Amino acid sequence: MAFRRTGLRRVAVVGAGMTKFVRRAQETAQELAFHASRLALDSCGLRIQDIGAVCLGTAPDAFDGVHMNGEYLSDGAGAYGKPFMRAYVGGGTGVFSVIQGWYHVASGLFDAVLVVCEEKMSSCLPHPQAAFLTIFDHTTERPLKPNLLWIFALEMNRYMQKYGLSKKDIARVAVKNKRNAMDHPAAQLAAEITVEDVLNSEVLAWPVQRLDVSPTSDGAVAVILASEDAAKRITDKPVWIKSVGWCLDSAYWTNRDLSYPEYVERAARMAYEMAGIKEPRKEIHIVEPYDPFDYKELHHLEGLLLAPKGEAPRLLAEGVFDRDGDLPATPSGGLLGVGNPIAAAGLMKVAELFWQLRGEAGKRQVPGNPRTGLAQAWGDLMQVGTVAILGV
Amino acid sequence: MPLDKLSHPQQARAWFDNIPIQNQYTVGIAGEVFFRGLMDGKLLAAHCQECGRTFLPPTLYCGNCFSTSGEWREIVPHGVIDTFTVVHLDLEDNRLEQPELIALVRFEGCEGGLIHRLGEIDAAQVEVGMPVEVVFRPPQEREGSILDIAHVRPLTKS
Repeated sequence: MAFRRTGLRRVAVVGAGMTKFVRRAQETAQELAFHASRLALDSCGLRIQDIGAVCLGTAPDAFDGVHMNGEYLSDGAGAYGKPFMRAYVGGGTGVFSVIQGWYHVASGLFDAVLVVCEEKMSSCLPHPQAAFLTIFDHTTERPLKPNLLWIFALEMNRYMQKYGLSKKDIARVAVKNKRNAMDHPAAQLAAEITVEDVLNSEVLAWPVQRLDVSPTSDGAVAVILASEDAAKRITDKPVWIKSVGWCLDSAYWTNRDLSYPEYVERAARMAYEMAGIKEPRKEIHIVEPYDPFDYKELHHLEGLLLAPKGEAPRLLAEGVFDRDGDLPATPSGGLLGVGNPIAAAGLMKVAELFWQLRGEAGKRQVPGNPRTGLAQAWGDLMQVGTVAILGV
Repeated sequence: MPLDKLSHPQQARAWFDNIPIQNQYTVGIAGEVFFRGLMDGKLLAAHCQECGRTFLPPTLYCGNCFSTSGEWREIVPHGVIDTFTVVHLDLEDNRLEQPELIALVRFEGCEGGLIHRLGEIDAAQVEVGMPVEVVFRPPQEREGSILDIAHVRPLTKS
């Protein structure tokens, strides 16, 4: 794989903060961004004057109902008077914004960068999904009036058919993640539910049912990245960004293998190669895969090469992905449990690794002193994989 | 189809649709205070106790030092025209019978300012630097909107 390996500086995460994820926040989008940014700065004792540049992530402008939403949010993200850039790769934005922050620092341009992701989906009526009605090809698909659930239903069914999986095999992800979220103070949909609850929930577009899906949410998350020298001045416990990777598949979903996210594998291989990881299943101790739907977590664990193709459900049933399992997956509670303010949800996964690898995750703490973690998000036209590997 | 074969745009096969969304905007934490103030006929600004700056419209955070703006201050509703324009067309491209005067008004001691309509004056008489005052709608007509301010007008001498 062709990417630069030399001349890049080491980059650490040195601080993190997040708002609660809620169904409808009274705060404006700018105020949500401010709360998360302020918490991240306070977590490592920095002032806004110490920040060299701001990287911001937010998903479609239509959610907040503000065109040029990145610029609108910039004051709340502390970007006033600073170099500023918004990243947008749909649902993959949360992890990509960290990749963007990483190259701002790795390149040598900046010593400290504030990365902020915000989403306020509640403002979008009648439902944020309406913002996605126009992602489909306007002549070959839109006359059929497709919505986003069609993609997930077709993908989930293809995955189930290919490997002979049942709905029950997949529902266990929703049960695990909503239970993990019970220990997250910012969680929106934490719950003790059963596989039967999932199977009995309202059918939306078969095989997708209500409890297979993450909620719409409002919230913001921020992290602070620093160069090696700066990180060592700021904290005794820097969490290094060991590597990053991202990859885009065809814009036409008809041209993709819907049972396997090839683009996630490519993004993961880039990150593993950059980090010198040869055996991901042994060298990754904790993983936060993107879980907007329960089957997506399994899909992504396979794409990340952390489970053989079609076998993530079996490993899940064996408890491998439990918080005290061999490879804890989504110990935060994820999008299914903590909530899914799109860009902020992806960055929440990076923040979770930061807390987990520093041993600061409280009741969510994964046992056994995990030293290496992977966060992944997915998005654009359901075709981008974004990966960051963190370690201590 | 090669571009040069089309003699009229109507010949290009086309398809019409729209993005069907509406948005509901919360005024936010600082906005709740500001707009309730307007209903009471008051201009409220946010004051940063860290660096001493005062912001109008108010924000929850200080744009300078990024602290939480901790204090609210009522501003005397007298300002100065910083710049203005005379609008002749509406959003549908209709020529306005009565052109609309729009001004940026700044207030002493405040960062920021208000964009609003200028009334009770002819366009020919407006000058940058002119002192103006805020005119609120009658209390029963206020609904917690920026339009609770009817307009700004030249400051009366009294």
